Amino acid sequence: MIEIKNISKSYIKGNKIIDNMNLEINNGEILGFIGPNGAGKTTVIKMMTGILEIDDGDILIDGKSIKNSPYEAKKNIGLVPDSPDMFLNLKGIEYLNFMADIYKVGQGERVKKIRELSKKFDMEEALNEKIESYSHGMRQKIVIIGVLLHSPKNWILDEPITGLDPKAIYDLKVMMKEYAKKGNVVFFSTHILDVAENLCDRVAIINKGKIVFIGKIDELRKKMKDNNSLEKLFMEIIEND
Amino acid sequence: MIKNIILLTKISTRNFFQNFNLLDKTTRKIDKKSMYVWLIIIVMIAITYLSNEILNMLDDYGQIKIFLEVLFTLGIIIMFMQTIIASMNILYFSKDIEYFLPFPIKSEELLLSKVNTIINILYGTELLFMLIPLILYGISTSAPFLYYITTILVLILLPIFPAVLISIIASIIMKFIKVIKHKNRFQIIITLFFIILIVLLEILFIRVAISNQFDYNTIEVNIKTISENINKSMLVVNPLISILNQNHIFINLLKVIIIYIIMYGLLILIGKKTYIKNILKTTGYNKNKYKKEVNFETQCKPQNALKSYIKNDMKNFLKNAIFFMQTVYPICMIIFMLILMTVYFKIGIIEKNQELSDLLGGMNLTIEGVCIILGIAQVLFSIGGISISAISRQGKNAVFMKYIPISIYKQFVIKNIPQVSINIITITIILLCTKLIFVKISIWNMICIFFLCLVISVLNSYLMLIVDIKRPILDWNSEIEVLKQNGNKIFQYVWTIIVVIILMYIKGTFEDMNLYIGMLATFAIFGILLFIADTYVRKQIKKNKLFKNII
Repeated sequence: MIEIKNISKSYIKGNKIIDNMNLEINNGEILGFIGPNGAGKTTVIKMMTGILEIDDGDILIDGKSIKNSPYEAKKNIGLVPDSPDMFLNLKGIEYLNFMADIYKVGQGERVKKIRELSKKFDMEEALNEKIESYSHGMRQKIVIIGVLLHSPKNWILDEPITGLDPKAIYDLKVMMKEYAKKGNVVFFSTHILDVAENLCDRVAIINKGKIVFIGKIDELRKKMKDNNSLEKLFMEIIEND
Repeated sequence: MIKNIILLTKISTRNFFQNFNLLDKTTRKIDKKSMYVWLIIIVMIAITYLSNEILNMLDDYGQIKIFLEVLFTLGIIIMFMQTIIASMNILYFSKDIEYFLPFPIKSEELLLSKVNTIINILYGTELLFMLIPLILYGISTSAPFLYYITTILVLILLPIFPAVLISIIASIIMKFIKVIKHKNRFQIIITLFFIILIVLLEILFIRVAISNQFDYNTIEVNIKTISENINKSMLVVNPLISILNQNHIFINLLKVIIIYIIMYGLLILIGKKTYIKNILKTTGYNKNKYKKEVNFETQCKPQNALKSYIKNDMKNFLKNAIFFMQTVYPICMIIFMLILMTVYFKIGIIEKNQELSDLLGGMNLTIEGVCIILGIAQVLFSIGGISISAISRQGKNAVFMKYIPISIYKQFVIKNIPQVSINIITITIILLCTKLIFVKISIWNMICIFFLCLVISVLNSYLMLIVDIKRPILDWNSEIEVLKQNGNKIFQYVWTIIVVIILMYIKGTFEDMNLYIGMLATFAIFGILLFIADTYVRKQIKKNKLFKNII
């Protein structure tokens, strides 16, 4: 479970990028984090994962504060960052082993997971090659596999769909659903509203550092008293804000 | 054509120098608040002091003219090394090439703009290391106004030679290569080839120049001959020195211009036909199918998280050609030269001269000797820069450090291991070379010096890592920017100057006391500095401030 409690962040004094934000993501839930460019999505994700300092408030990961107990909190997080260009000089298998070592995954478990996930993402034959020779989509896949090796209870993905081919998008969506079904949190940011509409249990719309809507798509439709697509609803909310 | 070349040169050069921030963004004048401006001033003051001392010494011996020869020899060697390391990356592997390729640009335009970028980088080196010594030489020799005019001309012309020559050779090599499957291995091999060539030539010139019979009176003559031999092989260097000496200015200028016209003609001729084709060899390689299967049983063995972290850190600079060449190569070369020179000095000179052999063999270790060894060690620690680029080398991946469940302090300490490991090898070599020449030094004293060097090495690595963490370069186009164009390296130079000053103070203060009191005081001074640095790191981590700029 992830609890975001009254967090604020400003890069320049007096100009809050994130303003007193509250959000709860429950176990077994997929939450889509939607917003226009510069709304603050990546800033929130960076604060959730300990990359950025939180000015005010706190974020609890399974009850552990990312501010005060970062080590404990980070053990329960798996982050897929917005850029998959990671450790390009390593071979795919070396990267996966490195991730498994960092998160202390035993041999039996790691072999099982690497086999299973690389097969699912059609990456088995590429594991012995350097990541720099991979396409953007393949890099994205190897990062996702690496993150899932330690079965994090909270899976956080920053723009995960970008660069993936249709099959990989479908596989990822299925995987996210299965992952949430097991009682884990899946939190992802996206620009692609279609994905959010089909996949999420709830969506949170962020604009100018504030959550302007949080709830199910149906609730959003009711709120706007219209049977519009998510795209139209999103535009209405952003423009009204 | 010229418009395009200027435009491309501007973009490429700006990319390289973007991390320096010497100019105020709004006024475009020198930013007096910029730390780099002040650090450059400090380095220039040190160079002024050093040059002045050398000039005075040479003047006393009536050998002041050697100064120009030696300065140009060192300058051209540094420039060649710099070009060798940078050229392949800039010409064929920098990321901006892919942005330029779709533009309607001629092959030779792109090539010339890239060569210009290399020349501009060399101008930076020249300004920092050659301008002041040349001005001081002019003052010492009461040179006429014409000397200063010719200095500017010579400084403009000098870097063109190594940049164009290496680019021509690189273009020819690339022409005979069909496809590049392993960019990193390729760059390492080509650079190694160039460096071995240069080193072999240097050894050849030194051998020719140094006579087997050691004679104090011929030292100056030997140095002059070595310089003359090296400068002669560099074609334009001797004419440029003659121009500075106001010796047949126009004839020598004409010589240089003719050499450059031929070189540029050759470069354009080769570049026109091959440059873009050669670039495509580096970008066009894609495997259709990956074949090697993973052996899960052998390739998936768990390791301790910290061990795995160190291993991954090591791979970062050992597996990347440019990082490897900039961090490991230089120190390997210097160690190699140190061993070579020591062995040569021992076998070729000391063993043939009983008087000298008795003199060096009978010398007792003094605090002055210890300080000289520590000073040499510190200078060698400052070469390479593994710690000062530890974070920047990771690029945007550096943020990874912040979200993995390993304590930030542990990661900080671990990040020092690669630099300190290489430093330990350096220390061992320095001590072995010392023992070879000054046979009387006891093992116990060597152990003491080893630990002193170790403390200075850890302190140096700690401080440089702090600098990199506080001012990382994470958004780079080409790996060269991380080290060669890394303004943070000035901190390393300044720190080395500070260490030398501390050592001079120790030498002055403890000269007349027991050697071990001097060594203990040295240990205490650097130990306390290390303790302060460590406390600072811990406090900064506690306040969440140390890694603040890595986002």
